[in-house]
Amino acid sequence: MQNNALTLFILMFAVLFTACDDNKTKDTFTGEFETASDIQAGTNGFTFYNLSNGEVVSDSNSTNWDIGFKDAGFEIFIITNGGVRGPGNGGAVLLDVAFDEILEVPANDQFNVEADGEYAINPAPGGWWIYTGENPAYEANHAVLPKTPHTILVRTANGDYAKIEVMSYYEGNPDTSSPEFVDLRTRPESGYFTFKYEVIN
Amino acid sequence: MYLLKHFLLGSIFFAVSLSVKAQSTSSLSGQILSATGESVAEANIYLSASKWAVSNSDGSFQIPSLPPGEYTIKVSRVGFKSASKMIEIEEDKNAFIEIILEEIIYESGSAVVTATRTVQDIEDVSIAVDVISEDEIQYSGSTNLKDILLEQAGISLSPNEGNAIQVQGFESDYTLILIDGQPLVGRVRGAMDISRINTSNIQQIEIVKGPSSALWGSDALAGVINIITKKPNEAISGNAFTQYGSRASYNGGATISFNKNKLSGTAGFVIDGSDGFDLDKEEFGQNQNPYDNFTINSSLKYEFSDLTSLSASSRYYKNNFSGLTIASVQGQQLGVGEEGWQDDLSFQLQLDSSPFSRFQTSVNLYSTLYEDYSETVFEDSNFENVTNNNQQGFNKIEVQNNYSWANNHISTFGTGFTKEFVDAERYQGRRNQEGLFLFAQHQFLVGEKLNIVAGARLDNHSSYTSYLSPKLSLRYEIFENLAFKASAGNGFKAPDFRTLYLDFDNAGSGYLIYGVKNIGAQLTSFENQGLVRQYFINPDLSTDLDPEYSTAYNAGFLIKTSDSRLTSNINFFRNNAQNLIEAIEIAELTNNNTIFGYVNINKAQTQGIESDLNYFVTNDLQISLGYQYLDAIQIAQESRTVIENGQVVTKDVEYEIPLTKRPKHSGSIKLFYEEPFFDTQISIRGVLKSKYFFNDSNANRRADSNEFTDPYSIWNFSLSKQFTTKIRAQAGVNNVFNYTNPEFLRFQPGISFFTKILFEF
Repeated sequence: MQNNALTLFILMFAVLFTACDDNKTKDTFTGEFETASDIQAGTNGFTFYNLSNGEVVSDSNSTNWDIGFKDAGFEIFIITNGGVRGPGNGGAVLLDVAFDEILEVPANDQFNVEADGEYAINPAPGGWWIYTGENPAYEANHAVLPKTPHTILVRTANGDYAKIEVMSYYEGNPDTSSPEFVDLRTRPESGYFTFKYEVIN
Repeated sequence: MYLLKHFLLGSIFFAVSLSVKAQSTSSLSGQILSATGESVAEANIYLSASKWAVSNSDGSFQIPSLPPGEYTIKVSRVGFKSASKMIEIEEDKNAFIEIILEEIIYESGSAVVTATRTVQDIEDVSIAVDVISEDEIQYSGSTNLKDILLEQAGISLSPNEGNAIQVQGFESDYTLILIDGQPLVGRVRGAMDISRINTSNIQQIEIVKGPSSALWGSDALAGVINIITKKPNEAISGNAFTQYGSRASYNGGATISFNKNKLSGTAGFVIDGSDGFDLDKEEFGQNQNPYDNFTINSSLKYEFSDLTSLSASSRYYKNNFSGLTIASVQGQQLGVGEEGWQDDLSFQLQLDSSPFSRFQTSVNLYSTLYEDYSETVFEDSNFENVTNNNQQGFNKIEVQNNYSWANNHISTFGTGFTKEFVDAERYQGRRNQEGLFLFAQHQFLVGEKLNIVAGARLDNHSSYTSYLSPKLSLRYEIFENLAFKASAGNGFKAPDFRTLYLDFDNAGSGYLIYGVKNIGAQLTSFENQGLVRQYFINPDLSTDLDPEYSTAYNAGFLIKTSDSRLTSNINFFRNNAQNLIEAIEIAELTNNNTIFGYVNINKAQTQGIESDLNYFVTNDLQISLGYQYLDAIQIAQESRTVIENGQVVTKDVEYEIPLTKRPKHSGSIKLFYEEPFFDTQISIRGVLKSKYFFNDSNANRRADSNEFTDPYSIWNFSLSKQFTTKIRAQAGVNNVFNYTNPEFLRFQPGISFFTKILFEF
């Protein structure tokens, strides 16, 4: 009887271990993230960024880039390398969940793919960002603030998964409640992305 | 059958003859008089559960057929101190007794009207009521209602709204402000500027905490503040005063009152002004702009008889202001000049009558009009001046009746009709609302220790579905020195004109807001033009609003020492507010503009402890301490996209956010000392606030460490001296330690000095 219990115990332990091992596949985040600072978005075209080596890429017609940024006033684009916008495997899904809370990646078919007139990541206000306008709830008027919580799950050009949280849309990642930021005359330049991200390799 | 009938008749006859035999011919009669010798009607005279009477209009009473013996008579009457007397009743004699009742002096702060709409001793009231007495106002040197209310522990200023206050963690929108029981109108974005009430004519301020809609209707969700003005009680009296202080602030006025034969009246005026103040010289404009205002008030009362009187009163206030401000024009922040005025006129007429014994009725007509006007002047630019004019009116007719059934039941019931309007360009002209209401309340004394008050009010309104607000409260005297109080009730706030009609459609700002009465047509029109890209919620949900409401529970104790030197109250409260109205995103247009609409979506919870302690160290030295613990959260609902079982799904989630600008701990310390030898009064008052979450300035829906204010305290000091019986001088320092915080406490000026001379006759 005691032997049986011991066997059961060992068995359970083994299952637990294999389960842990199973989790260390390519769709689990570890929590170790990188930060990209002041990536200036294009205004006419896109600024392309490689999430694996953290570099800005100029060759758009390649799988060398994973996401692209473009500042078009009332639409702020973050595109992925896939569908109609790139030769890669890219896609994305925007979640209203905090960056730290996302540990797993959803099924592959849950990712939006770039299509004509359709963007994998909603570029309009209310997507991953809000426009404060003159809404008295916000101290800073006419500002673009990243929505909290939000996380963008991205499928990279070569099919890996990454999560991204945009932290700031202004040069130098300023404190958006500081008097310098609130005052439009001293507010830093817009169109500069600071974001944290983690890629599962 | 025949036999049974006879037996029954026989036994009835026997019983009757027995009772006739036992009936005593002794009786008691008497008269109840006030200390001034006037007869007191409707006093309850109590001998035992079956032997009691109510005094007639001439103060007389009779209790027939009393067995001889020794009795203790207890006499009680609302507005008077209870009295008891021993009397011996001899066989076959009619005993006569005269009992003099001492009036509860309303000035002493010991009687209140707001809790039950009848005059009641504050210690007998079953709900939480705070009273600020005339003496406290006088010693503080406060010239307006805001300054004196801020010295109370449980009341905080809403820093963004300027002169509006919070009660039990609710914003100023949810507290009803009354003057002599009549509502004040003229809220700007929901906030009531209470600095427009000057303190010179106030008898006392009553603050009822917790929902009081069962008696007072809409807006009494968090509480009611009722300002009781002075009533003339001397043949002729009057006063004149002048006050001058830092930043060229002045306050002065005069009042004359008379009370002769059947006619009494009062007339007075107050002027008030200041250069305002500026905390941060580098920031454009001042924190408070220069202003000057005046108030005129008058009242007249005629007593046709002891039972019937007619009174009329009026009040007019006008404030002028001018200064510099920052305006946002087409996305640009511009420094501009602003000037304007507010005025406020009210009139009331009331007939009080007691057509038959134990029944009182009053008919009241009330009419008030508020108007504000401002002009923004763009110097050195091509923009045209912007003017803004807003008019709000409120008219009411109301009947209230009180009936005392016996010595232990009082019923109150009433009904009324209201008509309100707002007239402003941004409301596209004049908008009207009408309402009909009924209320009833019963006060029941069970035995000598338990007092139960139950009431309800039904409001039927043109802009929302009917609303019923019930309330039940009780007070139980555990020991002579310890009483328990508890209440449960509902409070509500009707959707205001702003949420119903106000449209803001400045496309340049990226968003549009429509009132619920207009949004349906606007959405249809956008849809027909093919301009709607997507809806965030079902658009039909944004076309109607229900009242916001709260269910609240209060419970606490009143403790006092037998010599009444020390009294202390402690009250636990919990408010569950629901249906709170908020502007949320309804739809997105193809031009990227977002349409906002008002919906009943949010919930909030406030809970905490209020306590106070009042101690007479000696007859001349009084210390009062107040403390409030407050926990206030908002429960918001949002539709969120999340991962569930590997699928991306969108669902509604509720989450909590701490409500901003609400200190967890607030305290007050007050010390009054009357120095008898030099006839000097000294008062020291302090208000203490713990740190609090000021504003979610980065809109991350979380309280970050840099979004908290520092804890602070403000201390005020004043000294007054009576020179002759007619002249009193006062000097004081407010904010002695010169605490200012330009970032978070924008409406707290630095140290200021004042002197005042008061002449009374």
